[in-house]
Amino acid sequence: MSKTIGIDLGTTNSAVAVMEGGKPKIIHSKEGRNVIPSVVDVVSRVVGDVAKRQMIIKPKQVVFSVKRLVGRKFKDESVQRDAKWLPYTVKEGRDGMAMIDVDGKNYTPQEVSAMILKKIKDDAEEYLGDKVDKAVITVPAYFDDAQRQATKQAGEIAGLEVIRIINEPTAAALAYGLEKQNLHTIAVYDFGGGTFDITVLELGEGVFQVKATNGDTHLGGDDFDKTLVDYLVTEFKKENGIDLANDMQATQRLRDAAEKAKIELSTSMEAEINLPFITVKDGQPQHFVTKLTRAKLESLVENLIDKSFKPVKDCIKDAKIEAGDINEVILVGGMTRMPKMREKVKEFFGKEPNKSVNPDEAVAIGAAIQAGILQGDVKDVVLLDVTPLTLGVETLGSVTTPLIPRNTAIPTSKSEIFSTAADNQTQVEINILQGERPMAKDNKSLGRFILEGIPPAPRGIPQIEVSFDLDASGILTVKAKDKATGKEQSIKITGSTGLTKDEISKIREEAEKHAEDDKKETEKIEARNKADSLIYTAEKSLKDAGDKAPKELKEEIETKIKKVKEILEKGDAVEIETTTKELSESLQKVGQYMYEKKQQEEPAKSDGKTEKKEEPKNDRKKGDVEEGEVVN
Amino acid sequence: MDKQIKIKPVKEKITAEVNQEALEWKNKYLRALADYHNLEKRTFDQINNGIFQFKKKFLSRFLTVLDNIDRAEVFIKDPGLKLVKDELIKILAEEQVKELDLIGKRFDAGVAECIALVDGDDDGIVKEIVRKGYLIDSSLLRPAQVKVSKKKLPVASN
Repeated sequence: MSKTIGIDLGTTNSAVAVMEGGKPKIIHSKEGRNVIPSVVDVVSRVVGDVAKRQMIIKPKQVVFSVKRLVGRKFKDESVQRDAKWLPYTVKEGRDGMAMIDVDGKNYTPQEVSAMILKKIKDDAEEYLGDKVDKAVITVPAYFDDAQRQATKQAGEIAGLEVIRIINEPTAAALAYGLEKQNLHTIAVYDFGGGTFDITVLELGEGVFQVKATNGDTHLGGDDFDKTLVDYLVTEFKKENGIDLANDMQATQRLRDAAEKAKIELSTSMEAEINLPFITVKDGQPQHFVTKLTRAKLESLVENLIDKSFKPVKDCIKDAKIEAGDINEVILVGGMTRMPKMREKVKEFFGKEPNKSVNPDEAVAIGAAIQAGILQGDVKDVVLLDVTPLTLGVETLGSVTTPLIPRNTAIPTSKSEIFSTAADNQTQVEINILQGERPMAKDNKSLGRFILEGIPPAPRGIPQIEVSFDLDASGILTVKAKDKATGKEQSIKITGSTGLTKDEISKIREEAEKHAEDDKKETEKIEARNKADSLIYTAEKSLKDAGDKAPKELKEEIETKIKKVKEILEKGDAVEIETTTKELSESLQKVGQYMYEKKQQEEPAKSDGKTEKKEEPKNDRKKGDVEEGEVVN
Repeated sequence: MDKQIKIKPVKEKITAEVNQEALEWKNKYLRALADYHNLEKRTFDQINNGIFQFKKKFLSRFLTVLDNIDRAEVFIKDPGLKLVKDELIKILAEEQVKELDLIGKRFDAGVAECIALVDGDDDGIVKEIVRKGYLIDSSLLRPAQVKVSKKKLPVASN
């Protein structure tokens, strides 16, 4: 199936994006750029950078800013104004519509737009390696029906079925994912290369509605560059008395340097302009070296930024709201990278604007998302399913031991060996848990079963293999098997991922909220389990040693066991750990004593053989068996 | 196990369904496999292209230095400067960067930008190079900025 692309058909630049693997992606032009200049040599049908390079040589046939003419009557006030400064000829065509005349041949604005769209289509096809015949195209919110129709026609001329025309601010809001949030009123501040637009959107039941829109069709980033070049020319004149304005070559270099400095000053506080051999005075080469601070740039262009707030105020008034009623402000257009502009937007709306999406790409990305929705891609994307929550079993001390961590791609399986927690325990209960909390009681129990018939043995000896198998549809099979007897028991749980999105996020939130408390509790339980295990070993050692151990040592251990038991009743993790350590030390003394004694008694037999439980080493190593929950 | 006979007719029906499902899965699997292979190919291309784009971006930053050495040469006649320039050109050449030869040729917007028109005997001929253009391999690294000829209109009194 062919893909549907999303196109931001801009006044100065255009961009295109497509949904890939469920995510929007900007398609770079053949020239390797993320935007294409909306400039067309209508005679040779060359579009973009190449067309732009011949603007001076063919001023009458290289058309730019055609968006200003699309779907408008020639007699429109705005067309009349634009026709005065546009180098190509604009005249009245059929039905009084604006038309472009190149050497007596007429081109409608939609034909010219179609050439841009054709280039976009070709680049997209090359990138995708597939035919592209459908598109979503964006237009400014203020476009009337005729302008929208003309844009649609342009798409059709280019061989694209325009499945939807959407508003640029709506596309931007989609790119920011705002349709998913519970926001009511959104302002889209779009400062582009040549035009400024402000739109107030209202979101209701997943649909964006334009409440009001305003703007300045002749305010953009180009004005900033021009202001900066003028400033540099004046500075150089002050210093050297030479006017660079008439030097074509010098102004070209100044223009490039100014644009570079402007971009640099968005991230750094100072930019250096370094133009050696810019001109010649009395046969001597002249260099232009100057430092431009961010503050200086800001003071130069402040009035341009301020100019944008008149339409903003009008727009808010038209929407019949106050600036403070806006829930979210989003930024579109490359110029919004300028810190001063962001600051002023923040100051005006009283809230930090959202700038998480590349402002040059936001509109195209939004168009691609809309295309994805219409195509059914966005809904039907079969993302590899993952387990939304961790799955595990309950172990000694009511702890959750995770087997399959959350976000594991399914199908998957995992098994681990557990053991008994008490001597002669003949059955274990497997309690299957779902959730992120360390304590079993805080997680959801999906089911439980009992594995019986384990041959009586000291604790820690039986090996019980617990395996989890989660299939592609989220059905969990849990099996427990006693390795000694081969006895096994299993359970199938079908609802393991059957939680709603809300439930899942709630569970995760709770886990985050309780992370600190949970950590403490886990530590306590770990210490407790360790102490418990040591008491067991100590008591067993004493029993084994019988009368062989010296009385005072036995008493010392007995007191310490008592102490640990007491602390266990109430104490915190740290206290448990200290007393456990003390007991462990005393216990080692017994071991040492027993060993020495044995060596004295049977020196011949001693090498290499040790008796059972002589070394009261009790610290369990990682990867050792873990105790399963005791069931009596 | 011992009641196998009883379930036999049902089994046949199930087999048909299972076969159908298996076919669907096989199809899906093949599709996924094909997608994977395509992705692999494209990832490879994208990585190569990414490296190339980076190289272009990186090398083009040295071009302004070369421009300035060119400008300096007009005034500084010390042969040392030429040695510096040659060294830089050599490094760039090793990375397949080469200067475009445009002067006297027909203007081509694919490799050059026209920044001014000058009088000439013919239309569209590159008369002067304001900023040199460069190729890397066979693709454009930086377009040249040139002045292009425009035929003088015959003046009546002449």
